[in-house]
Amino acid sequence: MNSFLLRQVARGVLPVAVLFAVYLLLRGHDAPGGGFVAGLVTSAAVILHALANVAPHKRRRRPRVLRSVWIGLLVAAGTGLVAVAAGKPFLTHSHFDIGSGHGALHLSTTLLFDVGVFLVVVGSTITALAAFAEEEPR
Amino acid sequence: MMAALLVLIPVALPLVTAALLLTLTGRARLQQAASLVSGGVLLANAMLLCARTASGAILVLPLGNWSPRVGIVWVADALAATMLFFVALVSYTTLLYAAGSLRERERRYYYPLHQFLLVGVGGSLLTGDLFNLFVFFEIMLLASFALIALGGRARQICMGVPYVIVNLVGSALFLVAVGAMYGVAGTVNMAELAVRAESAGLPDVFWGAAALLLTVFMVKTALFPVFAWLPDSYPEASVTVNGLFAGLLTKVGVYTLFRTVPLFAGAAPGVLQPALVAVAATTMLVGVLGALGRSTIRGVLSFHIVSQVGYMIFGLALFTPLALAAGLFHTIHNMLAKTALIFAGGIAERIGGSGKLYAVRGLARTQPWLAAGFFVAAMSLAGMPPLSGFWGKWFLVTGGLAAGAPVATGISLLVGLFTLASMLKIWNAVFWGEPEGQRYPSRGRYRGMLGATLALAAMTVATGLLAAPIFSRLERVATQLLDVTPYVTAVRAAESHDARAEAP
Repeated sequence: MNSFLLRQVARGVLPVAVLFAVYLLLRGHDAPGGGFVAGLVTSAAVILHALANVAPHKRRRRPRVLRSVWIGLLVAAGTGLVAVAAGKPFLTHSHFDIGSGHGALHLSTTLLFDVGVFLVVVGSTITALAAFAEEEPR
Repeated sequence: MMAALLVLIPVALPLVTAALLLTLTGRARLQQAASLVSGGVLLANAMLLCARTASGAILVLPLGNWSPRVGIVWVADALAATMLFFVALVSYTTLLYAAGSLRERERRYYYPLHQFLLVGVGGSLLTGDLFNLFVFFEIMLLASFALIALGGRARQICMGVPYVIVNLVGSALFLVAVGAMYGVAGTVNMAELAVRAESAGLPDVFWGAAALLLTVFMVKTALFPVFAWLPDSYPEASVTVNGLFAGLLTKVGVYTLFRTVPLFAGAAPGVLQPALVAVAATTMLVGVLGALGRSTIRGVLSFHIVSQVGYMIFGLALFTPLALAAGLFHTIHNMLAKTALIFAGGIAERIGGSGKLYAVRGLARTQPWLAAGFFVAAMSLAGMPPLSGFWGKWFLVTGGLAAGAPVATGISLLVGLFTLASMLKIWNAVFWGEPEGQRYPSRGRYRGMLGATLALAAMTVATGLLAAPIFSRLERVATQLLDVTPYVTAVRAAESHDARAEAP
């Protein structure tokens, strides 16, 4: 689709959406958000960008993001299995505090798990939507 | 620690295997070898789990160390372990069969999808709460959507679409029902729900939601009157996928009914039992009549799945340990025999280049081993002694008469005759007579395909010969299932020594 308006909107939306996705990903453990929504937001932004700026004949039928699915799966399963290796039930997470007092940064391995989920969602959503983004039916 | 690992592996191993197989995309031989290794571990794990649960022990794994009240629990009792064992068995033989049977295009993504399907099946068998049952059902269905359209042929997609739509609507209703139950009872944990149902005081909304849930399970199990998605879509999938689905998918639906119905049966409104018996009897009859009317090998066999599911639910509907064990025995018998039949039919289809009845004839002369495999499995399905199907029916009939359901029992015997007729229909059309239309005889010689078929056929013979010990084990399973208390106690006990759980 060659549209001036769409291109301008997409240019503005992409960075904001990606920032928002990072925000969702980071707050996910303690507040609404998490890897799944963050992944959806990111894929929506990327697809909008592709629709606006990439000519149909240059779009790949199978974009090379499929590998992020298995990387993400291994990361997510891996964080769960680390706990098993330590003798705790699957998916038991560990928590750390960096600093102390009011400004302390609370981190946990759930963030890693969420990153895995994020990668799976981005990879599979973009792959699935890219098949629809082709303009010419095969 | 060991126990936790045993419960974890049926879900975690296929998941990791799937991710690793994706790294090997395009190298089908390597993928098959890796799948077989993983499948072997799964089989060994299931055997250990069976041994651990044989004495009535129930293994509970609270994920992430959360209390079962708020968190996720996986529960392995004797029923789940038995099912896991036969799932692993069918899965393994399917992997053996796949290499020779899949076309080039199908081969590329089959193996990872097979593993994803196993994740869904394993999770559905082990999960202790309804919401995760929904999640694992979805994983299983997503994988099955991809598998059913794997060949990418127009007809496959055309017949796959109703399958997708029906299952998506079913899943949406599933979620609504689980949401309503959570709203009313305040938990989705099955053990907790059973306690709350027993202590009464649940409003009618709860039973409405339970009825909706039951309906959804009926859709997934392909019971009358919501079976129509199955007979048209299954035969269009490739043979390997058809065999895998026949062995696993509807059987997981059967399992969820066996798991959930006894939990609530004690407190449920009285119409539940007669309704289930009626549904089961109608399903048996409609399924077998539909099968008789089909004109392709796998068309007949796939419609038959519906009929057989009726037998399993008949056993459940009677609520006696004897009948319940008979239903379980029939489930196991069917997982083996039905997959064997579809595999044998698939080889015949390849030799003739067409799945139509009478397109290829006289295979008994040219392919004696294939014919033997089909014949044994077909006679087992029709209920000939001493094969497993005979014992399945025998136990059901005795259980049915003992429980005082003579009409439904009579129907099950009548359906047995029709089953024999439809098996003979395939036998006469494809295996009997002078050899004709065998256009690609060399295609039937692939060792993995024939081996998998014969292995499954041999297992139905073995199940028949070992019927007594297997059945006595299943009777213990059924008693435990109907008693409910051990299950509830085990899940709740996981909570009491939960003190080590750290607050997040």
